[in-house]
Amino acid sequence: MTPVIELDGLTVRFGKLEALSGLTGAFSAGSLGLLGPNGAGKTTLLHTLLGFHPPSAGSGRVFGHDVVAESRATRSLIGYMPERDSFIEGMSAVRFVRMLGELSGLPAETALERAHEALYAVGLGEARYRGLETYSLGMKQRAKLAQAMVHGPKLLFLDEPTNGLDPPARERMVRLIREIRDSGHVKIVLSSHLLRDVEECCDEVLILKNGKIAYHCNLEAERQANRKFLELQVRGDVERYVARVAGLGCEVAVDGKQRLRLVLPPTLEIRALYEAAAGDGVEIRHLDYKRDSLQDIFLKAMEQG
Amino acid sequence: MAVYKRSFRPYADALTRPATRFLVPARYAMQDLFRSKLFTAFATLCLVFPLICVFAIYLRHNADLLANLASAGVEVEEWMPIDATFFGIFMRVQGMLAFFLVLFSGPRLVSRDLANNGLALYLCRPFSKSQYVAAKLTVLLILTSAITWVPGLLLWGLQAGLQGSGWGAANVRSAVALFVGSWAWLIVLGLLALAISAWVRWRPVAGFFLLLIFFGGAFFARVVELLFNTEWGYALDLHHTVRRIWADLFATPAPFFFGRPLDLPIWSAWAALLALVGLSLLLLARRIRAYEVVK
Repeated sequence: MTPVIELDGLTVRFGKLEALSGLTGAFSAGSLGLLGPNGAGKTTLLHTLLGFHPPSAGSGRVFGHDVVAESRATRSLIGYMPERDSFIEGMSAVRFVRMLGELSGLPAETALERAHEALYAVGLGEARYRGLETYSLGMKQRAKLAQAMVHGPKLLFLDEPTNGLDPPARERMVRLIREIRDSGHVKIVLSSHLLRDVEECCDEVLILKNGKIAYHCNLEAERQANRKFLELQVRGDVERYVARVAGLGCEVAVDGKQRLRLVLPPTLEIRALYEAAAGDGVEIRHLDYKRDSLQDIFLKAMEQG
Repeated sequence: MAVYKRSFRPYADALTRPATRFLVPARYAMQDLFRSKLFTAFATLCLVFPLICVFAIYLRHNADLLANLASAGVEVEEWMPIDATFFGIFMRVQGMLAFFLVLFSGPRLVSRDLANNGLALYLCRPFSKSQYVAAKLTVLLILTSAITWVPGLLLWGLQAGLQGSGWGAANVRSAVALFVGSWAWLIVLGLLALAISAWVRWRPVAGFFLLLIFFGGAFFARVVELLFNTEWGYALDLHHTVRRIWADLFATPAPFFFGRPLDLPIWSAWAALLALVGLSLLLLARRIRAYEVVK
């Protein structure tokens, strides 16, 4: 299967500044999260794939199409929701979305029909005849999403889609993105510096730092791999119990008086912890897998990268 | 419109031809321009002079009226000949109106896209920078053609039809001059308006710069003349340049400036227009982009 995005030593320089530095990888996830601090190169990567910036070295492909040599073909597969406020003054939402649909190649009548549908899909159905300049920030964000999806692209680039939104509007935008993702018709690349957005919407994460790939992982696989991290709450002789489980080969950290964090050795089963507790008269009141949150993954990537 | 589907839907049907997609923003821009009553009124007023010319040609060929006027001692043929000078005057009047039409519409076409980062939305699609410029230029060319060479050639055809007896063959140069002179002027005007609008982005300032280039050139040329005792400064005066070209095309006397005819070599006028076209294209190539990169 052709990967959604392939990067081969992709480098982009602006004068002396190297915005992207030799990015290499193939990404096939249904929804890929681009994470990184401000200035990490997330938006530059999206812009380069859209053909806005020519690569200084290396190459990039979207669904097998070279982003430079086949720029038009590449862009016809993509719907792009820009980070910044982007609209055309003096247009109603439906006219705006329709025109951009026609620019993507939709016949005029189809573009009109789909513009109405897209605006309903993003929750702007009742406001679709209003001028864009009268929209609130949240509505403008949704109008941008509508124009990105009006032509039914195979790949959606969403650049900071929840930027500046209040919590209910953010929740709504995240729900919309998840609905689009779950429709199964479109792949999503979501660029954000908000970990929660990515965690809620994406299967894979690509973390960028200073224009380089700091980390790339499948979120679910990453969580599965961390099943040997445990959090326990115990009652009884904690010190004795800690010594006992350490003797079993566990790494133990005491967090407060009765809370323990353990890393089990690969061969040890959880049953052994219960047996040790029973032997020492210690009660295990709570046991939970301590999964790495995206924040943990991100912080590790930042430290290592 | 009833909306039945309210979720993301892929599209797999036929697409329109990429080569004709530049007509999409042109169509929308045209609709937006004519929403302004002021603009519509001005565009309509621009057709008043051609109507006056139609009336003049009609008068010139109305035998009864001519006979009545002749009996009253008015020789119409003497004070209103329909010749190259007549079409030259038509060109000058309509050319000036075309300038004002572009002044009203040109900055508006581009600045509203640039003001709110709208260009990224055009260029993230299978739509190129040249198509964008072609779309905007098409709007200006359609508007200005409608008041210059199109009515001009209709007038010429009307005169040729009414006059008969070889007038058309004898005055074919006027028709060519109307067509070539208009296109030279309209392309320069259109590109210049788009380039300035793209460069300064703010509509009123773009309009001011256009006025400055058109009317300030004569002042600049006069200063150059007084300081360096040379007329070459007029080669940079757009107003003079285009009038020099029109005079040459219609084979009419050189235009008067500051009370005397100015007769710079015709090649210098064409070279100045070409330089202006080149400069405008360069400015557009640098300014029409999805995002500004701050290095």
